[in-house]
Amino acid sequence: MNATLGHAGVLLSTLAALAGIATLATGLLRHRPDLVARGRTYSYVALAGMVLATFALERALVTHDFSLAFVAADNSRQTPLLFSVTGMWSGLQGSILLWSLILAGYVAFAAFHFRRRAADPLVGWALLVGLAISCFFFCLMIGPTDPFAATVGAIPADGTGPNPLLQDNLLIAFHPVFLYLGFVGFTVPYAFAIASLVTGRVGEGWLLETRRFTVLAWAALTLGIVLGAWWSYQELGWGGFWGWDPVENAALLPWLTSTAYIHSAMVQERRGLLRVWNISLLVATFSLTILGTFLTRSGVTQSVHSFSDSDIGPALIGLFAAVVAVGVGLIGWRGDRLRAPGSIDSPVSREGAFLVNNLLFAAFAAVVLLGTVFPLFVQAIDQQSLTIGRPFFDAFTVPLGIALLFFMSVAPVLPWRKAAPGVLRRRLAVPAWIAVAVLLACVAGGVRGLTPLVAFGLGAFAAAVAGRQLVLAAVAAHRRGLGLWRGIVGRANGGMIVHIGIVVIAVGMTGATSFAHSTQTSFRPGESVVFDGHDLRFLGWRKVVTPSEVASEAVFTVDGARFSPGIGTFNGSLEGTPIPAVDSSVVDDVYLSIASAPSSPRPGDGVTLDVYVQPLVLWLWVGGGITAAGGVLSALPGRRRRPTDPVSVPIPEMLDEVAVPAGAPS
Amino acid sequence: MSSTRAGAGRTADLVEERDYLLRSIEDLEREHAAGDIDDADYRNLRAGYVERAAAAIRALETLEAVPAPDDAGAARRAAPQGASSQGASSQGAESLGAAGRSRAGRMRTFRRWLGRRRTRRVLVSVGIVSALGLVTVAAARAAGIRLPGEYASGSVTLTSAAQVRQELDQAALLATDGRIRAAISVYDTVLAAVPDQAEALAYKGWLVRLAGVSARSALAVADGDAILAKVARVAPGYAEGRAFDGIALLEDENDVAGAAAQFSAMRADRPTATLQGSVASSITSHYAALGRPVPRALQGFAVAAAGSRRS
Repeated sequence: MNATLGHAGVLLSTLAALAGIATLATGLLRHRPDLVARGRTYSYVALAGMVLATFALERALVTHDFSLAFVAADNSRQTPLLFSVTGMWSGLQGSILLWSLILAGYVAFAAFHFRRRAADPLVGWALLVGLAISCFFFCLMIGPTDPFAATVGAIPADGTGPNPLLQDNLLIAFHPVFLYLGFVGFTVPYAFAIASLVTGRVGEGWLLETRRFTVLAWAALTLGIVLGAWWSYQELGWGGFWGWDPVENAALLPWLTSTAYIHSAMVQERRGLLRVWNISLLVATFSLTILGTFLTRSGVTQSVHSFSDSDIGPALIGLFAAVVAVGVGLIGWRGDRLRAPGSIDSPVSREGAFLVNNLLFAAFAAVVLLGTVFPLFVQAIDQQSLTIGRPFFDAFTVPLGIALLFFMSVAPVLPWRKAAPGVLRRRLAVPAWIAVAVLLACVAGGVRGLTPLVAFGLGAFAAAVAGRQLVLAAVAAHRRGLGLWRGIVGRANGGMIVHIGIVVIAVGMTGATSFAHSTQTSFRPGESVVFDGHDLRFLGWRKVVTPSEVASEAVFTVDGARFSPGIGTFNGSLEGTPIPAVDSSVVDDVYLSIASAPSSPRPGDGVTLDVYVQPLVLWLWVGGGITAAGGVLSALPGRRRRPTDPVSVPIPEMLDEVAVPAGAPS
Repeated sequence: MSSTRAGAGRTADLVEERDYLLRSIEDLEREHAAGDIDDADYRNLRAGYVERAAAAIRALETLEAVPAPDDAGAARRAAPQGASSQGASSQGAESLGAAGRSRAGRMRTFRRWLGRRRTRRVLVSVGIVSALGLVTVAAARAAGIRLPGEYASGSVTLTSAAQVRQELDQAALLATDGRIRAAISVYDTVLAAVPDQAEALAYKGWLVRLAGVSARSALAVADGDAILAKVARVAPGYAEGRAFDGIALLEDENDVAGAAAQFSAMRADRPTATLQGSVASSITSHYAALGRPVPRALQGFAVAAAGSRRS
């Protein structure tokens, strides 16, 4: 039943995508607006097919239908309901279905969003591209990654269950979903960029149309990456949150290029510049999401975040090559039309700062990309297994990150075109004094080291600049009788909240990496140790048994509060999985992970514990939340701006033009 | 036909440039009114935009009046190509040549060269290739041999228990490759973190002893034996430790009773058939080399091991 429903859904989506492609292509090539307009309806049918397939797979997981090979491999009768549901993306086949569902959703939403312009060739080509990419993933599910394939041989009485690391943490319900919402979301702006190149309408129109899709995809990707780091921190027992692992890098790469794009798109909207660069960034962003999927799902690289090997690598690398070839080919073809009508008047201007920021992001992405794929290239050519460790990444990314913090501080106060020294002095004076005060406070508080001091000082500078912009926006909104909350809504204001979130992350990352302490200590029951100002006492062992898990937990008190790191075995497996415990606060985290313990500890047995004390880790997760929230706020409609409105200060005439609502304070 | 198309393309470019510059002037007015741009910059920028817009309009009018390809080419030459060419259109080739002889003229020529689209493209390409080359060289220098448990990039480790496991696997691989010194060094790393780690102690002791035997160094052999004796003390339930210590007692000290005791303890720990086979092989080889029969106390281990091998 589940297999039949699922196969029907996948087949329906595939046929709908093919029919949509044929209809749109015919309409566009034969100049038949009626066919172009009709093409969008197929995207709704494709979405309906994916919803049906997803329902079938979730039903199979929840009811433990082991007649499906995917369910038999990734589910068991003991798996709790939540992790049965999330089991869909615990394995390759289900995660391709999730990707396809989200993609079909985005394409259908774009078709609905642009329904009044359905006959427009720009929209038609964009939908065609979207459906073609969807069709690729639907076809994967018909072929090598069929989630509804039948179990070979006798149907087992019970399944093997998901990977232990994927059934022990609530974050697994959100991290992959948000990551995919981000990855897949860039399909829409990519499709419109391709459509603009095909139709020759390479002006700023398509850029404005897809801005919200881009920003929301970026916010989702940000949240996905931060949640992934949080999952890694809570689950893996290594006390870290980012290790430049290939899969982490694969998620970071499109984030870097899309962040650059969000900034440079403003330069194109405002000044008509950087057209080739913007389209190139979008092509790079989308192609890097496909590269990321290849790295994660093909088995070409091992990773702590990679849970499946497969033979879909050639198909994914083929899609990657096609995406790059089509993008680059069309950019070359439309080269003349992409020529900007002007140039940057002065390097000390908003557009000048954005250009430098883009170059820094591009350099950052190049370093991460090379560091990730270099060993793979060498392995492919020379059969030699190499690794590039953290020092390589740190050597480049720390100075690049600090330079980006600096430009994040200065760019928001720079006017377009040219900045006079007086204007800059006026706008940067208060933030600069705040930065100096924070720097002095850090030195007085015992902070030492060039990198942390520079990071904290620049962080304060950037946060103060963003805060100043938000206060000005809130005051302007209040003067117009719109309410202070309008000061945080809209692209510029939401962007400032994003900046504050990034500063919080940067401060957290600096604190956690620069001032971390760790030790490995053995305890007997009743013994206590003071480490880095925290009192740790081992009380003894306890056994926790649930239907899916048997865990031996070492009960500790940390500064009086009780925490229980343990080692769990799932679904009758013999191999133990560490279950760290974290005492988290705004100041620091005390992270406990069992280093060694008897396989079946008795009450009197001792334990050897890894203890990590890391300052400001909580700031990372809070900063991630602020950043994603800022992204969403920047996608909400703010005050309607004319393309030529000044950016920094509302001018009196504009204020006069806004009608004050009745009853509003004057 | 193609010349008409080229002329239309040129007209479209000029229209876009004109609109862009007129929009920029309007934009500039607002920014100046808002206080973003000070008076001096405002005057300079405005003068530049007006001059370029006027040139674009003049070129457009020329094109519309005589839309022949040659005139379109003339109009293209007349129109400014961007901010860098601002003010340069009024200068003739002759005056340029004269200025080129002076320092200021050379600087102007250099700036014009720098401002050319093709020059900029070449410079940007050279810059990108150089930067990528630099990063690639840095990556090649930073790359190291990937050992078991490591990933293609990054430094994620799981728990310290997993770290120890990874290092033990690395050491075993090195020892298999005959890189004994490197393997001992990795075992030392493990022992620095966990001093009583049984596997690291046993295999380090065994490798040190073998190196001593090979180099005929009694001191090294004694060091190895001491480490193996420690394994039996700190990890009495570790079969490999018992087996290695037993062989060392037999071969180095001819302590038959001590060896038999270690082999008995090993057997109590349910050793693998491979380990038992190794023990048996060592016993038989030792007595074959001596030309003596295997003593009664050890015969059971040789026979049992042979049985294990057969199975």
